[in-house]
Amino acid sequence: MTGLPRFRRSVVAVVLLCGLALIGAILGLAPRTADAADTALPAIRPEDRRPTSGEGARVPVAASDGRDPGIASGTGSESNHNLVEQSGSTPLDIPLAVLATAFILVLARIATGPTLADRIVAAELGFVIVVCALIVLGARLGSIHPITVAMISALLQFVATAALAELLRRKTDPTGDNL
Amino acid sequence: MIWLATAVTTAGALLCLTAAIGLLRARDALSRLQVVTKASSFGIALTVIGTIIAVPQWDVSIQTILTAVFLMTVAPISGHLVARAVYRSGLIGQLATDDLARHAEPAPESERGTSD
Repeated sequence: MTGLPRFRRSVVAVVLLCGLALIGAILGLAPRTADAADTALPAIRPEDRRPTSGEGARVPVAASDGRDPGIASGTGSESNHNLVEQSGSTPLDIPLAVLATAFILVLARIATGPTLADRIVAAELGFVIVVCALIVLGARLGSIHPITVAMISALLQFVATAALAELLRRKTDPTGDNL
Repeated sequence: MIWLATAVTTAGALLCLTAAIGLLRARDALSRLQVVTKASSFGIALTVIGTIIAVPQWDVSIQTILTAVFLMTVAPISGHLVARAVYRSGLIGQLATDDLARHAEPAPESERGTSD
């Protein structure tokens, strides 16, 4: 760790942040499906929520936030209830898990890469894996917002890779010219 | 339909996993780059196809196809940039044949200073 340059540490930090965002997205997905499975199974169905908002004059507190108060006291994780619309999209967790495993391997290569070039190549694959995971996350949630994020991060991925390659070439070019 | 989408998307994710395993097992930086570039292109293509099967809507399809087209367009470009930087930085390992050695080192005098 003595000869660790500042640039290498910044590469590791950026890719670690991407990995933490990916793992956080997957972990934020898991308790919601767990609550829907066992604890609040009849609670977040739409046919149970619909008469609650319809009888808003009788229960004005429940009509104000659109939820049953018994549900709200039970689990607090269905405040973003319009995200999980497709109940059949649960098997899309399998490619998310595979992508998370691939990202862990990429992190291992970044941690143990002998040279800076190996870390940059691994960061390239890490960016692609993050884009794939965002697209699969959009398909799993039935929402377009992660896919928009994936498109923008695909644009930024090329800029980041080009900048890393240019910095690597400027840092360690033996001829030292600007070709 | 959702299982078909899951199968296609899992195939794309498995391609990414294969690229990651190859990243761990390959010998030097150029081999790793060769593993990463091809597998990531096919991985993003299969992921997008599975997503379009899972969510058949126009906006999702347009944005995912735009993402895939852009990634598959710039993947050779970024691979070329990284490979050029790796070669010129001298971080390559043992190569069996080095056909570029006659041309690239040292840089030709006619191209110096033209692109900075």
